[in-house]
Amino acid sequence: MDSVLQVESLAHSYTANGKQLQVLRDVNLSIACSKMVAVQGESGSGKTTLLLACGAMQKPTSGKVLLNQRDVFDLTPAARSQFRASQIGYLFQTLQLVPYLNVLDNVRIVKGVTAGTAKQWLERLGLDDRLHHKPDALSHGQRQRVALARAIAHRPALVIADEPTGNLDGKNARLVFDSLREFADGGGAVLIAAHEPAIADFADRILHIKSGHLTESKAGV
Amino acid sequence: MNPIALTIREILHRWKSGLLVALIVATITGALTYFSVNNAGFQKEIARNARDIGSNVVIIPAELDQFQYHSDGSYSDVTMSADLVQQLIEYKASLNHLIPMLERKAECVFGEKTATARIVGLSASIPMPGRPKAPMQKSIQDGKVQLGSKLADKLGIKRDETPEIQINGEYFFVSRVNRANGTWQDAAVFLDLKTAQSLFGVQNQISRIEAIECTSEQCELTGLKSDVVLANELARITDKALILRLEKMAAARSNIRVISRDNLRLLQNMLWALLAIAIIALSSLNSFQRKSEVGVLQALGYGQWRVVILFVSRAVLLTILGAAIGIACGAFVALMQSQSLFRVTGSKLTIDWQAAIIVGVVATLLAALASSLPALTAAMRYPAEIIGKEN
Ligand SMILES: Nc1ncnc2c1ncn2[C@@H]1O[C@H](COP(=O)(O)OP(=O)(O)OP(=O)(O)O)[C@@H](O)[C@H]1O
Ligand SMILES: [Mg+2]
Repeated sequence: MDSVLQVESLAHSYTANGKQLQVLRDVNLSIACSKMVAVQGESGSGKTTLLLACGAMQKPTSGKVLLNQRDVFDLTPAARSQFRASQIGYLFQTLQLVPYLNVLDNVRIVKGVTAGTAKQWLERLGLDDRLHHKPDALSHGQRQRVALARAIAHRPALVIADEPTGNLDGKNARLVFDSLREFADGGGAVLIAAHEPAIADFADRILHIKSGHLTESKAGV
Repeated sequence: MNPIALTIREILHRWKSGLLVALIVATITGALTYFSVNNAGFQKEIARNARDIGSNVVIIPAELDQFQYHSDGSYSDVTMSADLVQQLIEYKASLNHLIPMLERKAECVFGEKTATARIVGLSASIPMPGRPKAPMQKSIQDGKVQLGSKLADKLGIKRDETPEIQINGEYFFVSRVNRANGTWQDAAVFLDLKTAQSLFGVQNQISRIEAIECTSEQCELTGLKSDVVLANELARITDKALILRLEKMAAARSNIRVISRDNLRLLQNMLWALLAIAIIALSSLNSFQRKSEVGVLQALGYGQWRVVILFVSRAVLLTILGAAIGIACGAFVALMQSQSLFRVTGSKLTIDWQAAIIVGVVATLLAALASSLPALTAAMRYPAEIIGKEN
């Protein structure tokens, strides 16, 4: 089966205070459509770094990221921006909602999302009574769900969610996982960073990141 | 969602910071506009006052005995050709408000009383083409005379009387008795130059030309002093006349003008610098502070230019709002104040639209430029590099 996301020999190192920190080493990963892949690992192990590279949000030190067979770092900035917006839905660990738009508009701001679709997703995520609130009037957990709706509503090929359930209770976390599962079942691919054990019930594969390497604990179904 | 709609939402959301930006822009553009209107009034008023100090240059016949002239109280019978006036104008000499005069002493008779007085024929002041020409001396009607107040006293004529008097055997109506000014003019008779020339039978002759010097341009050009510039110019036109210059008056006049002009220019430049710095700082600060927003919008598929439009439109909208308020208030206040401040020229002042437009356009362009550069450079980077780790 063709993979939506294919990561080849990915490596990333940061330089801070004159020191080099190798976060990812020779990472290979492939996600086919309808699959949901979870990444786990200690804090600081490199989950966000991996996800950012997969989402074309940060250029890795070396390696390739192919999205629907196209090398995203080979595109011009303008083309990459277009391609990224149409192919990827990204939920940042820091959420990054637009502070001056209400909940509904924060989802509608994405190209191709109608008010109807936005509402549908927000209702699905239990936010029907918060549509016209600005982000600063929401709890962190509510904002996480708005960010998820924004990442998913335009039906991209791949949704990347960086700890979308960090602050959620068990019930709401399952609501989020369930939405992502449903998205995958509808033909999309999902890459998620999450440490809740409950993720095992939803993900097709669970990968662990340690010392810059990926290992698999739950084999692909 | 289009960038302008986003901009308006952003401004409404952060209305306090937007209002502050608009107010700062309004204050400075207002000050600049106030200043340019006030400045125009001030310069006109200074020029008018400087002119009213009176002539500071006298051109007299070269053959005249200067010792005699001064000991007779700046009076002489010696004359020169009136063609010199036209020659000075054609040469575009560094002079303005030329007043050719013919003087004679003659017997004035009114009823039983007689007095020998200076009879001064003069024409209206002649402006040099291309220089300010509000007349400093108006013409006197043909056949009429104006009397100095002390002469009127001597002849027994009251201030509000307009009788006929005899001068050198001819009759003239007194058109008015001048207010005393404390000089020899209080003992003189004034009439039209042509009338005086025919009265004394000296056609096309004059005793002197009084004028105001306009040497600043030539002094700058040649590096010479005013008296040298004037003497050189006159020497090139004729050898039959020479120039007397009232040094102190000339210096005071030019100092007033130069100091007020330079001081105003300095203030204006400072205001411009302030405007530029404030707008550049405010606009670029906004773009810098919202760097992470650039990253998010980019991640959501907003191209570089749409992101830039978002930031530029905010800066431009707020600047236009602020400049409109500032220019309107500045111009209004300046006009109101000028009318009470500059009583003679103030009422003729109007809003300098050109200056107002320049202030508005420059402010807007600066805002656009200052906001676009940080946004543009941010939009060229990867989203993760500019999105902060904190939310
Ligand atoms: N911009 C950066 N400059 C330097 N070092 C960085 C930078 N971003 C991340 N790091 C370092 O890289 C390592 C991996 O960071 P990353 O954010 O990918 O971890 P993570 O697995 O997502 O952690 P968490 O679970 O806490 O979110 C960390 O040790 C971090 O200190
Ligand atoms: Mg992380």
